[in-house]
Amino acid sequence: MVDVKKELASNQTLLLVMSSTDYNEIVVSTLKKLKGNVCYVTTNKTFDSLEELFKKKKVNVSNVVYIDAISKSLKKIKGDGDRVYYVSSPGALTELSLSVSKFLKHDFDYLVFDSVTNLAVYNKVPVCAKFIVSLVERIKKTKTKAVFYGIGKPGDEIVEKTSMYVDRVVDVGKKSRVKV
Amino acid sequence: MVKKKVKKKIVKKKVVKKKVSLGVNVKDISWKNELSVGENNIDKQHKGMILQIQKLEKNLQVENPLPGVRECIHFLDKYTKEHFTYEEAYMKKNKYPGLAKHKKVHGEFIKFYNKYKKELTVKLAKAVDAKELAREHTKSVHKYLGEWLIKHIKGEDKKYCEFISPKKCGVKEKVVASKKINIAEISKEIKAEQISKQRAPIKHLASGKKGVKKGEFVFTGIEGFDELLNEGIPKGSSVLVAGGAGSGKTIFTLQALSNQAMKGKKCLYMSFEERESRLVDHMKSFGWKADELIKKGKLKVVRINPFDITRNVDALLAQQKGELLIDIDPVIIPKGFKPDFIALDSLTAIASAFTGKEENYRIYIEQLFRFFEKIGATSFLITETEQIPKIFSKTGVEEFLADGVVVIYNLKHGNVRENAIEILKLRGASHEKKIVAMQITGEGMVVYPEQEVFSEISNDLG
Repeated sequence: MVDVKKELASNQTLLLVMSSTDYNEIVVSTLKKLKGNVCYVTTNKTFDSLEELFKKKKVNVSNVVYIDAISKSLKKIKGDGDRVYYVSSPGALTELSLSVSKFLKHDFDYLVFDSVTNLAVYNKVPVCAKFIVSLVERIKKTKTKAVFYGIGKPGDEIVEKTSMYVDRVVDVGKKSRVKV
Repeated sequence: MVKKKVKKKIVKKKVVKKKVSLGVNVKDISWKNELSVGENNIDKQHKGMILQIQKLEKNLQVENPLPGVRECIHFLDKYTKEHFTYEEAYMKKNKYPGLAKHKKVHGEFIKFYNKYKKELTVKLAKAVDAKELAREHTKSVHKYLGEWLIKHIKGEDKKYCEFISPKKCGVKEKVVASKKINIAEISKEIKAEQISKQRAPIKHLASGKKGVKKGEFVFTGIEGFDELLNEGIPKGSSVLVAGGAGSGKTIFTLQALSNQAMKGKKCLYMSFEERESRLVDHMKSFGWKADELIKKGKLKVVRINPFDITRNVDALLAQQKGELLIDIDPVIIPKGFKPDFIALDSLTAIASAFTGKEENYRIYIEQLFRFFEKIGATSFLITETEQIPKIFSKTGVEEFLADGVVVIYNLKHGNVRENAIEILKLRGASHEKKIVAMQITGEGMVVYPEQEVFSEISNDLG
C-alpha cells in the first residue's frame, strides 16, 4: 500500500488513482494515516455513508469535517450538521469552490477530495479541469496538504487532466499489485 | 512659542520610539514552534495575540478601516491584560526570580499600548482620508506591536521558560489531534464576516487620480462588488442593471440605495411594477432598516403607473417639436425631495406601456437620460433581459445612452443554478472586466471578486 504520509511529506498535492474495488479500503487507510485536522470534500459518497464506513473500520473521525456535495442532490437536507457543510450538488462548482476556499482559510492540515472522477460525472471534463486548477492554486496559497482521489485508470481523461496539476500521482492499484 | 511646541513634539516622539525600540527588524509576525514557552495555555495566548496583530495589519489595509481596527483593538485590549495576568501568575507559581522585572516590562507595554490605541482610533475617526492614514499606521502596528511581541517572547518570555521548563522551550507540544473544528462555528464566522463587511458604512471617497475632485465617485456598499470598481461609479452616472428573471436586479438596486441612505444620502426608488409595501418588506427581510430610513426622510419608495408616463409623452413630443414652451420632466420626483440616488424599476415595465409606439419610447428614453443628467443624481435603471443576454435592454438603445451597464446572470448548470455578475461598461472609470460569482444570502447580495464562475456562459457577449 502507498505511504500517504511519506508522499505528502515531500508533496503538497497528491492524486491517488485507484480502482473502484479498492476504493473503500484506500479511503479508510488514507484517512487513518492523516493525523491532524482534515477537511473531507465528497462528491462521491454521502456524509452518512462515509461516516458509517469509517465507524465500521474504526477510523477516528473526531478531527474530520466534511463538505458534502452529494447529499443535497439526493435528499432534502435541513441546515448543516456539526461536522458537515452541504453544497447543492457536485454540479454547483462555483458554490463548491467558494465553500472549499472558506474552509481552507481555517488552516486544515489536510484536504481530501473524493473524487475527481465523480466530479466529471456531473460536469464536462474541461470544466472539471478548470475547477481543479483553481482549487490546486488555492491550496498552494495555504499550508494544507491535499489528497485527490481518482477512481479508474491513469489513462482516464479526468485522471490525466488532474495529473497535470498535482505535485505527484500515485497509481495505488499498480503499487498494490506490485506488492501482492 | 511655536518653536517650543514643535520641539516638545519631537521630544515626545523620541520617547515613544525609545520605549519600544526593538533593534533588529522582524519581518514575519507569525507563530513558529520556536516561540513556544513550554506552557500550552501561554502558547495559545501568544498565538491569539499574533493572529490579532496580523488581523489588525490586514484591517488597516481595507477601504473602511475603522470598524475592523476598533474590533482588533478591543480584543487586544482585553486579551493582553488577561494574558499578562495569567503569565505573571504562572511565573509566580513557579517562583521565577525575574518576575518583578518582567512585570515592569508588561507595565511599560500596557502604558505604551493604551497611548497608541487612543492615538490610532481617534485619528482614524477624525481623519478625512482614513484609508490613507490607516495605511501609514500599518508599519507602526507591525513594528510597535508585532515586532515587540515576537521579541518579547523570544527574549523575556524565553528567560522564564529556561528557568521553569528548559526542555520544553521552543518545542511544540505533541498534539496530534489539534483543535476540534466545528462547522457551525465556521458558518457563523463566515456569516458574521459577511454581515460586518456589509454593514460597514459606504465609502464615498475621492480617488487619488489627478484632476479628480473628492466625492466624484460613489460606491454601492455591496460586499465584493465595489472591489470590481477601481475608482468607483462616477457621481451622476446612469447605470443599467440588466439581468434575467430572478437574477437579483431588484436586490442589487435596493441594497445599493439602502446603503447610501444609511450613509445619509437621499434615495428614491421608483417602482413601475411592485407595490411599495412589498419592496419595503423585501428590504426588511434582509435586515435593512427600510422603515427607519423612510421615517428619517432618507429613502422614498414610490409606485408609478407606467401608463401615466405615456400620457406625458405626447406633451414631451410637443416640447421636442418646439410647440410646448414649459419644461416637462419624464418622471415626477416627489416635491421637496432632491434625491442623490434614483432607482427605476424597471425600464422594461415602462417599455411595455409603449407597445405599438416604439418610436415614442425611444424619444422618451432619450429624455429620461437627459433628465437624470440634468438633476445630477446617480441612477440605477433596471432592465429585464434573457438569462444570458445578447442585448441588455428592450431596444438596445438604453445601453448606449447609459454610462454604465451591470449584468447579473442566473446561470443554469446541469440541474443547478449559479449566480454571477459583471460590470460590462462604466464610462469615466476603470473596472474589472470579468464575470465573477455572486450569492444572495440572508443579508443581501455578496459578490466574490476572486471567484471565477464555472458554469458556461455560452452566448457570445462580445
